[in-house]
Amino acid sequence: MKKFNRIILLLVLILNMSFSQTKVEYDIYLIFSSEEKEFYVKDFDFENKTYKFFTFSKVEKSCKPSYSLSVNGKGKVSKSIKGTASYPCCNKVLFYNPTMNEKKKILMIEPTNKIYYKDFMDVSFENFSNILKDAQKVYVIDSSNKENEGIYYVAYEVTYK
Amino acid sequence: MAFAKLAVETICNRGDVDFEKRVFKAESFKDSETECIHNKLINDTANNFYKQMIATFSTDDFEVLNFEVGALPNGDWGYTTGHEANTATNPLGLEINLDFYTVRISNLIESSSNVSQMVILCHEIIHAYMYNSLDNLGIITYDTNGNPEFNTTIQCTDIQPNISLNTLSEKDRWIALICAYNANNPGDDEWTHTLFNTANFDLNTYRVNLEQLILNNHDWDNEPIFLKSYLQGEFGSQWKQKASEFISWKGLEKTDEFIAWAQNNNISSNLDTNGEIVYPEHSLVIINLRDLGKKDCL
Repeated sequence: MKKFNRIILLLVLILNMSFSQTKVEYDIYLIFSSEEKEFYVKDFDFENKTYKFFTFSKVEKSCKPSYSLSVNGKGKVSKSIKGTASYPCCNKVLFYNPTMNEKKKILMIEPTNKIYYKDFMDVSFENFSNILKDAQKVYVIDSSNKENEGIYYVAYEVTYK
Repeated sequence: MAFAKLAVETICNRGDVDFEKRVFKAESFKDSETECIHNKLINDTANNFYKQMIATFSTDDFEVLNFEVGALPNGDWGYTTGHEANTATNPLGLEINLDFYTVRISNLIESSSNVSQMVILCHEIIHAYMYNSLDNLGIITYDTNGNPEFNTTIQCTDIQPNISLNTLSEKDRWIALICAYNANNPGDDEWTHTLFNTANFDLNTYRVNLEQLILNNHDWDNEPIFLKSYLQGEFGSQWKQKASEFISWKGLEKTDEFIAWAQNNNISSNLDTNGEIVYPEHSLVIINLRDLGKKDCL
């Protein structure tokens, strides 16, 4: 009986661990305004279909100091003026492909998991990218384009890297 | 001897050494897509800009260029460092320094398009070449992380304001440019990128040479039809030239020269909520070239 209880306990623990590690599935709705220049929308016609590129850009300043001090081989203090080959952060392009992605009308009040321009600016770009990467689906909504007297949004499912 | 020792160490670590060109390839670089692009540029029958820069390392016994592929922070595509850490003794018994330049390409770029890989490889080699030139002239040294620093024995006050650069020696011209940049942009870290718009082997600037290299050496005609159609829609019949021009500015976006170029070409910009200027229209072209371009380097 004691052995049986131990096996049950072990099974419960294994089940508990596996459930706790199950990935949560979620969708994300990015709601930005092209009129307010919160993002850049480019339509592209190819083989009688309209593709869309949504470009999200911001400058994320590095926390690295502007100067560093070091002592050279002769014991002299010198000031680094930095010369790195790094690139300014940050840009992301999300791509709506009409042959693969869904386009849907959605009530303005309907979406949960909404991310607005302010959120994009306030969080780190890495954080923003990661939350998109782990989402099951990502939709982009241009809040400048409302339909039916502002009751509906048009949501474009996008692919991203 | 120091070169031979480093060569043995590299080979022991499963890397590769091109003894003729004095180029070291770490294991991560060997057989990578980026190495394939490097080989294509090196084996080009024309004496292209990339080959000219690489050749400067092969003509100096005390300089070594090392390539590697690996992780980089902040989404960087590439990073170049210089070190004078390898001391050796020459046949006369004098102590010498073996300058060791490392070009690290992001492993994320490995899965991107051929044209992106060509751009980043050339961009980093321009840095290595520039650091080498400035180091040989005694203008810079390197900090402990391999980042260049202005030699503090050089006094910017010696440079007279508004002096004609054409009257100066090569060394004094570099010094004048860097001093002027530092005076106008205290605390800014973009001087190495600003120097991309200074003249190099010929009357062209590094940036223009990079644009010409991409235009002439990239296989534009075999890009996917979707990308070609997009670029033709953006730029018309001059799509190859304009795409080369756009991507040659990658990495230089923080410089005044880029801002002037964007204004002259009516490239739209926004101010983000931090008051910083962003160029989403330019970014879109660059990212599409990276993500939609042909990927296998054959």
